[in-house]
Amino acid sequence: MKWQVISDQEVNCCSWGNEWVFYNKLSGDTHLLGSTAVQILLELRKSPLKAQLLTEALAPRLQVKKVTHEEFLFQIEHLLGELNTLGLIEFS
Amino acid sequence: MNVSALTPSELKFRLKKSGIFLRTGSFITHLQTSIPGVSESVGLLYADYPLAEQADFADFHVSLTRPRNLRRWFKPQALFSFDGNTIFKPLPLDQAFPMLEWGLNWCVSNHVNHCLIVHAAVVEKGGYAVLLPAPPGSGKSTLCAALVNRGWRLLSDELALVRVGDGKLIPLPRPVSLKNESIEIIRRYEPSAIFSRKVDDTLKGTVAHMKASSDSVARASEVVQVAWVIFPKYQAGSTACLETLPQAHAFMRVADNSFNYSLLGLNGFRTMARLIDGSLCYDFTYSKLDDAIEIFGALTPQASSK
Amino acid sequence: MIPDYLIIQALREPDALVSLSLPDWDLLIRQARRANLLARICILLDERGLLEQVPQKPREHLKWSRVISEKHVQAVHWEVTQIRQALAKAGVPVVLLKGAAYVMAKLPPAKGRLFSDIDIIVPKASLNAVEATLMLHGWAATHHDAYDQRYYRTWMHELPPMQHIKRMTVIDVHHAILPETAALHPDSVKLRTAAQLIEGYDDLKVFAPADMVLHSAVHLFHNDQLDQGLRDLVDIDSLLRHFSSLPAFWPSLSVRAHELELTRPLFYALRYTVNILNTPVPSDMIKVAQSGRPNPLTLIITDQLFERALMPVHKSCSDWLTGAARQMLYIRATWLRMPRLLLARHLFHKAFISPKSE
Repeated sequence: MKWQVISDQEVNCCSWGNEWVFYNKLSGDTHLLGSTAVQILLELRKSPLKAQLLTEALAPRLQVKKVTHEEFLFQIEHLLGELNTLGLIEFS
Repeated sequence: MNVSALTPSELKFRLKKSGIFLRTGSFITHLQTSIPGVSESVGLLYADYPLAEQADFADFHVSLTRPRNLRRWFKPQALFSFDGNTIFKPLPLDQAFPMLEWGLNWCVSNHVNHCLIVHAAVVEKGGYAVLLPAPPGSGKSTLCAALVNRGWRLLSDELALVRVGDGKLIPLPRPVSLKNESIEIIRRYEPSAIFSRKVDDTLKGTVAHMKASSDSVARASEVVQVAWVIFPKYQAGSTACLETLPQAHAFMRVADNSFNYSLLGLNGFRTMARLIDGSLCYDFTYSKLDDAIEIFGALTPQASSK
Repeated sequence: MIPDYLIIQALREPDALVSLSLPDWDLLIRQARRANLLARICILLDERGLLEQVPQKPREHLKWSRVISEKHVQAVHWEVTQIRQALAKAGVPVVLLKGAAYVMAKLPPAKGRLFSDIDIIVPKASLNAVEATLMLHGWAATHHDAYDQRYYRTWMHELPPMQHIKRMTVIDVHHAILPETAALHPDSVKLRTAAQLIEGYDDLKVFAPADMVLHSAVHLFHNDQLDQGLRDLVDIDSLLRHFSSLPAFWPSLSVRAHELELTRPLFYALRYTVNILNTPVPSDMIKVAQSGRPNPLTLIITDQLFERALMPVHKSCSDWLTGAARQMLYIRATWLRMPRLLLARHLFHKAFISPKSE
């Protein structure tokens, strides 16, 4: 089972600094997302990934040195869950 | 012809019989009422507003009546109807005019959808508008009343209409609603300001409405570019302080204060994005109105919106 | 006599609207808004390329209302997605009813429609499982009063409405299209068995064309709330016009009406769509539908009642009998849905026991 983003046509976004506002056309909801969540979306947009592989791809970019791998994986999984609830990503 | 062209008794008679077709901003309201207090307040606060030449179309048909029940003998009430339908629960007769103001806000915020409607005051100077969105109790109307008495043009006190498509602000100048201590503060601040009679014990406390300047009413068809989005907050004893607000956060907060952001769907998102993109966004804390006037006077629009 | 109200003229002949005077537009907009048909009129005009010929002021009102209906349609799509996801795990086949069915199956009554809830029908044996699954996914019961709960569960054809705690949306879960207590018993199994998959979905069905019309008719002519009456009649009109292009539609409509014991509601549906909205119905069909005709005296009375109560609740669409007509139809509908003793008990409870907030 891999995570993937919903179709590009279903999402609009705007960014100011490192903060993004996403509009989900399917749900009609608007979300303010921080940079980690946006990195996840951008990564998944390239190709659908399992949480484990996604974590490995993101770790160097987000410069996670202060936390352990398990903690980081836990954080990413938590964010994946949130993004799924918002309908921005889905399990396939 | 303006409302002021009618004598008080003519106005009262018209309101009672066929009603008047009152033009506020780009809307025409057909208003009927036999309540004398309402007729007086309309005559006072809407004196400069035009009456539509031809009474052949109204955006909203509203009336204020006294419900026909037993209570009218010992505790008289007023009822606001939109095209024959009661919208709010009846209120004490004394509150009929504030009820009309709330009712007119309801008409606009529940029907108009070619604009993003934000619960905000809007004032303009030098061709640029400040949007002052704020939840009740933040001192938005007090600040707005002070600004319009010091050279700013009133575009709106309650409902900011941001046009979908070009993001321009459509004026809807109507009386400024002031509550509790603010009424006396503004009376002292500008003794020449014209107020409706104070009404106690409403849901919002004591309420009075301040007349919009005739200039702002006359210029109600001039749309304006918004240059600043400022969230005011009155804080007793504080030094006036303008603090930059990250735009993404401003986006979410303005959306929270909007009546129809969600209803407009993608158009709402795009209109909001354009509004925020073109505006400098701030949190503003103040306690003295003069400090606020000074700071607002020094605002300069961001380079791209010039 | 069908009154010649503007809203009726507009629905019969949208093309003629371009010649309307401004005062007529003023009144039409008020009638249409009250009937929840303003957005539909906007879309009818737009489809004909006539919207821009409407004077600017009324055109604004039409477009404002279209914004609302577009939002409703988007929200229905999203809500149906949520319901599908929730019920996928329960393995229960979901059949959408009424408005949600029209939207998802892209049928013409969906145009400009507004929604207050989503209706689905499931097998009676699955009711508990469906309710439990929905609760697990954030829907909660709305009727907390013990009498209401028992009333629904014992006598009604649906669960008490459930509301989603975050989205505040409401779902009505039916197991039949009429209450258990009603005199008519359209067979739910037959209805569900004939249901058809929506194109592009493998887990979402709607009633077959004839059944959809019959359900719409039952809904309108057995309903105690007629304030949406004209909108419901427009639904039927729109379905009939749309399905009439299917070769076997009209014959199957009369066959199904007999099989499901719904010849009476079908008779009324055809009578009032034809009389009020000029719906084109083949003369053979009119003849066949006579089997559902009530006795002449009853028909004289029902004509008087429905021709008033189906009009918008607006002072320009009322005469001195309108209020009485609505009241009598309320009693009639409740009568049709419940046996006499039970009705007395229910009305007594509603009048004297159930607390009613204003």
